[in-house]
Amino acid sequence: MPIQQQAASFTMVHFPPGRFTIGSRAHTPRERPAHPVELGAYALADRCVSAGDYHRFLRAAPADVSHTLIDCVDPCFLVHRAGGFLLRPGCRDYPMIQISFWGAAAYCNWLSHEAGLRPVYDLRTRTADPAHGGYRLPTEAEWEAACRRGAPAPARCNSADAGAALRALRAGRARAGAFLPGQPAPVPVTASAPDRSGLHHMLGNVREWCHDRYGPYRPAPGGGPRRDPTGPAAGFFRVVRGGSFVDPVAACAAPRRMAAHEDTRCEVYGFRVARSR
Amino acid sequence: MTPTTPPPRRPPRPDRTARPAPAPSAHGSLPAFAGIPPGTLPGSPPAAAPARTEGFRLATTPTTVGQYWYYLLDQGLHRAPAPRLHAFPAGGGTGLRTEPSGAVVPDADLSGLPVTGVTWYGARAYCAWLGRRTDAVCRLPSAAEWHYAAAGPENRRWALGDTFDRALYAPPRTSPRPTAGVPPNPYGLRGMTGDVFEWCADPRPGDPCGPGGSRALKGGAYTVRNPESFENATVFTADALSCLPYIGFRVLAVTPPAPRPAPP
Repeated sequence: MPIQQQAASFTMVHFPPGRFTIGSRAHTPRERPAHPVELGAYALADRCVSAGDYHRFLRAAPADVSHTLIDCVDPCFLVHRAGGFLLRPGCRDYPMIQISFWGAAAYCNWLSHEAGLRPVYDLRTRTADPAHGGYRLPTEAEWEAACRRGAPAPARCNSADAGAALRALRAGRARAGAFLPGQPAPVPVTASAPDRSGLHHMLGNVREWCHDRYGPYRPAPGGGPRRDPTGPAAGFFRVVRGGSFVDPVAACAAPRRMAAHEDTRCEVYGFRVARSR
Repeated sequence: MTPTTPPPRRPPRPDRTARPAPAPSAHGSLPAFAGIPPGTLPGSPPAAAPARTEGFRLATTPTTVGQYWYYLLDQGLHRAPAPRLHAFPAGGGTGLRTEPSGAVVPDADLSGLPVTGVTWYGARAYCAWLGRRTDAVCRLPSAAEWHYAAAGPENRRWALGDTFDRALYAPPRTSPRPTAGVPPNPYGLRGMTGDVFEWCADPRPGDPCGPGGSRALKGGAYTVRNPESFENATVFTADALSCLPYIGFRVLAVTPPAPRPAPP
């Protein structure tokens, strides 16, 4: 049951509670071991937050974000001139990139404010409490369970190995942002048809910030499921999921894990929002 | 962000005729300059004849808040917004202070910081003003001139050596720091690596030269992390009308040709 989020272009897709397997033997040591998790009901945005969505936030709440959270050096879709943040021409539907973990968190908090929900993130103390119920980033377990259920087709994945049809939609070809024609680049957030769950570009396009700090998997002793895991309690590296336009298609897989320093603002990282239901 | 592909590292061949740099005067109203000797500029296309410089003078620090406000006051530019040049005037804490007498003067507490929030056009306008003011030809350095000066006579990878010293170049910060306190490179240049990006003259390859185009940035900033982003050879670009708290600039002054010896 999709719910239109008025402040943004995306739609929330609901996922029922249940028991899932995450992790895999088939990839790198980071994904091992495969283990069970128990997830509560949640909703996940059907697409990444677009540059247009993020720009709406910056115009509405310019004091909520500092220049240490968002990078406006090329190839950015958003620049910052004397009058404030500005969308470059033709960039509205591309994913928001060059955004740190906390820049993504600031956006989640703004959505919560707009919806009358209690924000999850405290940017001053750099802490989070998902129990507040507001918008947040998906946990990596939620992200992986949703991606496995949707089973996105590799042919729709904007990886480094993307085919001609997707390459033709890349930002450089469209002269969007400062990506150069012929260089790897993102495509608009709904450039490919959605997967079976209704989610666009879970794999490829941009690596997606997840809520969790990165650490090796630690399954529950005794083999039972962990309930709504959120990763280690301390650290500066966060999980990013799904691979991107610079990653080989093999790295764009549902179980595949990567880590990034939470202050990284790079054109291969974007995000989509989630909420507990 | 993506650096444009760094050109192949080619050791420049400087003539070792650099004179000792004058002492930095970051709090002065006009920039101090260091002499950069003649030599071969890095990054010349392999097929082309190597580009050579006859030497130039480069400001020992990025243009400071104090220097920029001295210019704004001198030109009366502080009275009205000029979005094509800079994001000033932006209220308190930006470099101006009103004295009890009502006089508007540069704020000494902020004067030593590199000026930011200046567009590429604003940086060029400052260079042009400084040239008129000092009877010299002043402009932004090209990315190759900047690289050549930063790398010094030993062609270093970063301004002060071949290892990346994070505490020196990129201490954790959320705003610029005064560059006068940073050690100089062998040419006497401070703050080349880290703190704020510096505008260079070059347009982005393949970019139209008009408004909306991008221009080169060098040196890294407090907002970036990867050591490669700070390398002397690395070039970033940004929208030429950007006003950002992590982009500044420094001035190049063309060395006047040596006077011809008077005929006997």
